[in-house]
Amino acid sequence: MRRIGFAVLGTGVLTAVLVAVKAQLPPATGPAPAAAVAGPTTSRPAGPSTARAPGSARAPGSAAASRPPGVGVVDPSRMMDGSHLGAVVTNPYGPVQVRVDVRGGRLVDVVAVQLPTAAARGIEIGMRAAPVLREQALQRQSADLDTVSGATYTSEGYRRSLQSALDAARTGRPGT
Amino acid sequence: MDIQGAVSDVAHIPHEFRRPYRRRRSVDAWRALTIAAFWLGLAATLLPWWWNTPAGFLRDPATSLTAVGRITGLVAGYVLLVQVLLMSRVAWLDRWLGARDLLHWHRDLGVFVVAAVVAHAAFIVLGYAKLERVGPAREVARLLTIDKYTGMLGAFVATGILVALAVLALPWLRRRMSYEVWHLLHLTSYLVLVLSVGHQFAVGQEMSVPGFSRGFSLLLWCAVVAAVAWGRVVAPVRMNLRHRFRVRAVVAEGPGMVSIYIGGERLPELRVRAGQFCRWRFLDQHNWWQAHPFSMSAAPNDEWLRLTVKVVGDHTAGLRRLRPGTRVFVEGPSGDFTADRRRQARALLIAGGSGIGPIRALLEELPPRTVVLYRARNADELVFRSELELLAEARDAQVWYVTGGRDDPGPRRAFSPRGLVELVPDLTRRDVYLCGSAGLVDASVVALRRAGVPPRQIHLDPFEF
Repeated sequence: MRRIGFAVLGTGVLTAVLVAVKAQLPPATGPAPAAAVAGPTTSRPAGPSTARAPGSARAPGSAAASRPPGVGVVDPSRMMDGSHLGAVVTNPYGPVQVRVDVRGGRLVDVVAVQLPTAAARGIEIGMRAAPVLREQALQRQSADLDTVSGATYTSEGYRRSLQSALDAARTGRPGT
Repeated sequence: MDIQGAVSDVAHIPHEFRRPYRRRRSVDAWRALTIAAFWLGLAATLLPWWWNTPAGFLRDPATSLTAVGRITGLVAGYVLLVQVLLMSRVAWLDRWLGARDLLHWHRDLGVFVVAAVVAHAAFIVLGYAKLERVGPAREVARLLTIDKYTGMLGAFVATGILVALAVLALPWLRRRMSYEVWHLLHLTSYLVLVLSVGHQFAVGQEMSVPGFSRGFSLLLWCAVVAAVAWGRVVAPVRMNLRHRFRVRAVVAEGPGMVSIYIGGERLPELRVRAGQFCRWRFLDQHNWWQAHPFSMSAAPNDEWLRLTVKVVGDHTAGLRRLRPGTRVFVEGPSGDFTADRRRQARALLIAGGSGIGPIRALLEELPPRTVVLYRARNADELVFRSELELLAEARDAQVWYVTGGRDDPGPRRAFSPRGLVELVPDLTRRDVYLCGSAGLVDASVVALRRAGVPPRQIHLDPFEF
């Protein structure tokens, strides 16, 4: 009986420690509010293994890096024309990153540059969720998206990446 | 050979009383290795979670709850497999860990598995519910209905079975069930394994992806299935085809005690040691459906095996009516209550009531100057007296009979630390083998420990009467 107590207690402590330590570790890639988005590391794609969604022929990282950092005149209501890359938001299924295209101050397209590839199921979820999320974003012209059922993590990552891309479009700071 | 005659005239027992003095086999290293393998396996189960969970991902309660659910799930899945492996009856596990420890670990890990599975289910449901901002009940419905979550129905049913088994195992309910009913119910836990495997590989965060975790789990599954198939089917069938056991005689030993002699082919090749037990399935129309574990009450010889049974239940009462010639399906032998586990040169054997069976067998394989303490309620219940006395003479052993109830002054004195030292002055330099009722064994172990016998020198039989 005592051994059972120890085992249950031990597992509880182990689990708590694992989760706590993991939570305390500094984030490697910032799934972050707009302020943390400017870190140069965040714009790098997670690795060569990440599959790219159709429509993103060029490497997103190079696009981001080629723009010189600088301070633009910020009109918070208006988005600058061009392509803006969002932050890479990593969830357990893999990274999510979007690029927005702005024409005439309006959001005309959202391209998922990276979608989760960690699991067959992750890809399937991403493929299913991305068009729905894109449609919402174009309609609402904002990152205020509803979660797609069954794609909670992907929706959340998409939302964050989109928000950072939109912030980039507004502030003129290089993508992410 | 006329067995009836052999028992009354002990001189005819075909034993070689001066058996070779067997050295202790080194099992400590194997035991340590097995235990290390258990912890390594657990680490290998949890590592992928650590690798695959990105740092900074566990920021809010929802993801943390889910993470706790995942860890407990991985642990529960692993321990469930270990549980089945422990009961697979493969010979090497029995040899390295010992039947008694296997049984105890299985029991303790069983409770642990239930706790881990319930925690896993609860945390996953709570975590997902928080992520999706719905209530827990709604989340359960979602998990069951959305086809993305393959195998979840099975997982829920498996959890239900586990919890039901845990409730049935509560001592006050367990005591109302016969061994057979409990055993049958317990077999449904294999169903838990089958039902839970679906969701582990279909939606398990780590295992649904090709990679280390999936490979490791598959390997573990294959190993466990192979072990069960080998230990429960292939090895016993092979042994029984080889030896073709049959009942040779049923002999009354004393009030309520029956010895069953079992013969077979090629018995000299049967690898069995004194103190071990087998599971015996007597293939006649009353007994074929149940197998019971009994220790052998004589050291193995080339002619027969003998088990001595105390008549306590329906099954044991039925055994008195066994006919010579009845086929017997034997599983085993198993148990590490054997002479080769000795750490010292000499031994003390303590038997209570029907526990004399394996003790009587062990006496044949232990070195000279062994001491036997045999307690029974009264002189009539002392069985094997002539055999014990003959063995004592042949092997230069000492046999003490202690008669009386547990609380009578005689037994109380004999089984007190001082009484034990008086009877056996070099107690601390002996290995002690105990077999008998739980009360006697527990009291004796306490007394032995007080008298200074190291725990490593105390050997307990695998059964709890």
